[in-house]
Amino acid sequence: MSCASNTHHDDNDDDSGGRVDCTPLERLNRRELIEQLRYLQSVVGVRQFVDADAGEARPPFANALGHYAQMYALAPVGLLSLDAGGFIEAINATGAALLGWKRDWLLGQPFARWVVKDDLDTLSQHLANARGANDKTIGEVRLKSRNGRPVDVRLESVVIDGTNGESVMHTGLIDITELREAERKARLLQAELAHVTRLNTMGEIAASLAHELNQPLGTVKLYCDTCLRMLRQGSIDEARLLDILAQMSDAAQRGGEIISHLRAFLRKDGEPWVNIELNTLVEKTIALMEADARDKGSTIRLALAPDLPCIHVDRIHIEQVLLNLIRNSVEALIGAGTAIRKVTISTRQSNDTQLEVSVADTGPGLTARGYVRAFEPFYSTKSSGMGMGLAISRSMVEAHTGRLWGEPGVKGGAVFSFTLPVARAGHSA
Amino acid sequence: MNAAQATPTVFVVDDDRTFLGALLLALESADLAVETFVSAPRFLHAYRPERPGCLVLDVRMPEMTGLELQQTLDARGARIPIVFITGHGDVATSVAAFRRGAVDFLEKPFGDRALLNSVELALSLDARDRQIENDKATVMARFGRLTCREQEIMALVASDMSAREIAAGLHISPRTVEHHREHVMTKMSAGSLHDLIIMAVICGLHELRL
Repeated sequence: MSCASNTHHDDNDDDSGGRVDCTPLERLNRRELIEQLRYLQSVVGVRQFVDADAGEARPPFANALGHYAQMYALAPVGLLSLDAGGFIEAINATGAALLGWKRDWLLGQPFARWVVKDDLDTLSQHLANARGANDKTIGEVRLKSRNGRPVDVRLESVVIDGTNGESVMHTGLIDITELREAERKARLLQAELAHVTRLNTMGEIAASLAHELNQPLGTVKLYCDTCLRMLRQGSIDEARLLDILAQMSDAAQRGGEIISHLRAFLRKDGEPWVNIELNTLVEKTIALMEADARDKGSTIRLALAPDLPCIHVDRIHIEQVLLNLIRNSVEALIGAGTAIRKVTISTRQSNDTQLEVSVADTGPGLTARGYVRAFEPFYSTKSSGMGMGLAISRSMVEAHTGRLWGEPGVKGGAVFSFTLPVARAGHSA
Repeated sequence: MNAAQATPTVFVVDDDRTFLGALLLALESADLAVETFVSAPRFLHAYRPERPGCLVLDVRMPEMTGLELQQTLDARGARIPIVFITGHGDVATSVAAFRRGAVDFLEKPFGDRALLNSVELALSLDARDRQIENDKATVMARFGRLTCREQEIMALVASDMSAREIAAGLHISPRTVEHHREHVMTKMSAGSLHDLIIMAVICGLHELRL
């Protein structure tokens, strides 16, 4: 908070000097100014303030006016007052700079003019909310600045009833463009990393997937060759041929599904979130993993609760989380030397708003500290692997407002669980 | 020598029912008797080693893998020839399979010709093995019907000793030796000395020096 208290000003009540800094004051009568200052107090948290009886102008008050006028003008946040019609009554230098216009010019203009078209509804909603609220109302819109670059602005508004019965809305404008930009970049990086880890995972289970794919291919090839031989010998009847062709078609279809599922999994991010049944998602993920688990000597068992409500998720991300957890379990079982190598995936509804997925294994489990450290980036007990799996998984689950944690199983082994919110009525399918 | 051969059966074990269907058609359309199984334990339950045939076996199955089944059969002394099939063969698995005497290792997708060639080879190997086993049993049975003296004479005859040498060694007359030898030839159904020597080798009376 900057406060240019040392600067000398010989302000008085009808300050009509040409100093640019004080321009908004020219338009304010004293009562309005007091309101402004009260607002200022509420927004910037200034403790000392005008005398309780502000009705009479005294020399200390005149000083205070100059003092606060400058604070108002140069406050680190944009300060804006809108009349009931949404026209700009006052704006400080910071606010004007955000919009990219001179203050003089801005006064009397509708504020909506600087709001990005798509956010106009958000603005009117914000205005309505502020009018109805006793407290500060917070919103966010994008502004069109003069240089054409949209500016992300956080709005903090209070509405105060004016003298003439018209309410005035005082709004703090905080430029959060850089914050939003940083968040966007972080999201982008995370998505890239997630994509890379998915490619990595697929590389590791590629051999098993090739096997899965050769299964239907083998069926088609063998049926096809046999049919050709039989047709040449004239030893096949139409009914038999129809039946075989249907079988071949099914097998080809199955091969196609494996490929399309694989492609969906490897697709870059940015797909819209979907409403999907949790159990369906689990089963589809298992289809990718089962062969690999079997190759590594583990069996996957499902314990899915029936009739679960839909979840609203980024499908690929949740599949990736699940895949990560299952892979971790399968790999924990390789060196475990346990007689039973089993990974159990269970789903259940933990409460009205949340579903829970658990991946439990019969491996050796982790140390108490291990369950915490496992989520640290680049922490890995495996010889290969980046140690990013669980860290990425956790941030993906948290992006769904869920939780991901690990704990020892009741009968030994490790259990990793995560929660996901149930899809609400507003979520489109 | 007699070869009491029942019709050989191609036993097929694969957990993928669709593929099993394709295998069945490919083999049956080539006039082979086929029996299919969706798991190794089911096959083990139904299989009798005396039945001639061969085994077409998927490597990767959930309950018991193809290699495990091969080991189990081995341990039971069932020497049925095995043609392995796999979706995605790795070197280690195929080496392990061949080391235990696998006939072939087919990698999907393969055509019916490759399958039928391997199966024919496996069936011929089984037929040959069974023929040898059969011959051995026959020879052993005949040998069992010889008297002690005849068995002794047979061993000496097979080691290429003359009647005189044998007579001297056993302190009996050459005539008696001749007499025993004729009995041996008849009882063993040997048409020549050459046949008798082979039989002696089969019975373990004589070691070939190659």
